[in-house]
Amino acid sequence: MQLSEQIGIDSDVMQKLPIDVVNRQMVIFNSISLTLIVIGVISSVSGTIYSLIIFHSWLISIGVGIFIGAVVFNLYRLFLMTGLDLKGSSLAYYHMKHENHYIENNLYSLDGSAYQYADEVLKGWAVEAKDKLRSKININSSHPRNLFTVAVRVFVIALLAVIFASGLEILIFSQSINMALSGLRQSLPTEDWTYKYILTPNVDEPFILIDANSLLLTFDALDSGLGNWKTLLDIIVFTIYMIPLIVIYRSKEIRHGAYVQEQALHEINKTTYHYLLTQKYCYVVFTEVKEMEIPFNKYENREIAVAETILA
Amino acid sequence: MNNEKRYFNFSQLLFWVLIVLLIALPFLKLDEGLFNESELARRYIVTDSLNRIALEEKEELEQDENIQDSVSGIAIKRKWKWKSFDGKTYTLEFAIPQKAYDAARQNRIDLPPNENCWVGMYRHDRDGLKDMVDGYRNIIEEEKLNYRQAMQMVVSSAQNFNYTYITISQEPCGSGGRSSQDCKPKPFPYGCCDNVEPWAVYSPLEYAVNGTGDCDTKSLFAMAILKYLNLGFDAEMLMGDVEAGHHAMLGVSVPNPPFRNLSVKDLRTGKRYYAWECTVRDNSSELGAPVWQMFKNWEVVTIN
Repeated sequence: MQLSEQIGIDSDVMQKLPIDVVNRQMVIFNSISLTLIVIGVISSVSGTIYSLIIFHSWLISIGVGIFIGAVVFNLYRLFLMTGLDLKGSSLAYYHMKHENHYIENNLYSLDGSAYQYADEVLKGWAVEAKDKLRSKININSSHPRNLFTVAVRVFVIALLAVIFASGLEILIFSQSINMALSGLRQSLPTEDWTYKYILTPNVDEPFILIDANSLLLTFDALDSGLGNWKTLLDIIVFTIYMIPLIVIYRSKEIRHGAYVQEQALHEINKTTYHYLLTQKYCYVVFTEVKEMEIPFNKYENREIAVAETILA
Repeated sequence: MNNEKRYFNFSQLLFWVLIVLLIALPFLKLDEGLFNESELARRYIVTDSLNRIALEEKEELEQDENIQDSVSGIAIKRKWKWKSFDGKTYTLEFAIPQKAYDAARQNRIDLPPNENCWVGMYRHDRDGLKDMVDGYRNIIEEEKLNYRQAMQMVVSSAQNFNYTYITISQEPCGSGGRSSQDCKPKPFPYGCCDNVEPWAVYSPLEYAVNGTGDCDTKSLFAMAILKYLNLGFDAEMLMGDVEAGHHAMLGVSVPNPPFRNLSVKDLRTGKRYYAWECTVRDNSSELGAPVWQMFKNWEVVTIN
């Protein structure tokens, strides 16, 4: 199983491309898929850390972590794959409105005569039209993207990155955080609310990983302990989260790459073939209906009318 | 390799390098170098529990009582009553030894010209203001004020007296559009004190006794009391230009101040001080109202 299948890549649509192009495209999408899985794992680990502080239970925390990781993976997959559009390619004109393709290939003129041909012949016409379309693809690589859409995606991913970065930092610096919390505990009088409820574990729920009941206090310890280093670590995690999105948006191998074009051609081809089939079988059904003898039954029709009247 | 391939390959390389770095971090044992664990307790106590600091400070000051006794003789008693930002009215009764007042006045006059006069007065007046500082501390403890409320309570007490213009003999009251000499805090037209040599500023102790002062006297008094109380945040003097001319304000370095319009960064320490106007009694915002439109050439004057 190819990793790229995890993000919805279907290698079958690239059958007509040279093998080296297909291999390169598969390397790219397998790599992107792997980065998304890694990001999902990072989110999962971070979610587990947060849950440990809240629930003090490995079982619940791992469950929550897996759930969060899966949500982030799917959200990220959605952001990336919907970023693969045809803006800047001449194919967009046909992909946005498939009828343009029918008009250009005179397929409307087949209405009423398509029934004469076998399905395989119709399929051949659709493929021929697709090949013709492929041969005249024109790319404008400097075509701008919708800034609002980009900004929304960057904002959401940045937000996720900063949230999950803190979780990782808590894991990495857990010993130091615990020492800071221990120092705070020693500084507080035993009747202090924080001492009693935040820094002292319940008898049946010992602390795991972090010796506190509070996420906010843990953040505070992390923030005051790391200072500007926290910003640096946040930037590292932010960069990790942003790389797949930047690659999807900026790499010409992906944005106007062979897979995206072939996928669009595949979709256009599918609808073209089904359009022709629809024309054919519409004509067949229409002819059969026309030839069908439907005898008139006065009383039966009257009974129905009466029943409808009563119901009304 | 063409540019298209290079772009993708480089981004992948960067991704995996960062992942490896992230995985390696726990094994690099960076905790000691990067993590400063002593900060948490200090910050927490500053923001959430003044009691401990107040108690520690009290013990420290009690050790100095013998010194206080030796300078006290006839005492000047004062009773201040004012409304703070939270709408509460506070009352502070305190006594200042006459000898301490005289010494503060003489110290102000004798300050060497090459020394920062604010530093000299701040250092000198500490002992003389002990009773007053204890009074502030008692209010904080009795009212269970957090550091922010305590800060507001102190600054509002400094703002409470009406503005009085302070000048020197070379630019006496009654000249240049100034009010005539009466040296009293009163509503507009404000009072004026001249012959306040050599820097046209009263010391914190003199302000505590007389209640007369303009921008630098009031700011210096508030700063001195905040520093003596040691509430856990930095208070310094700020000086610079506003549309009315050269001016002084109180600067406080507190976390997440709600009022950020006017602030000055100390380039030596990187700390940001929020400018607090001490000459007006405007409690409309938590950290003082932004009364100036122009705010230029401001710098932090460190007092210690």
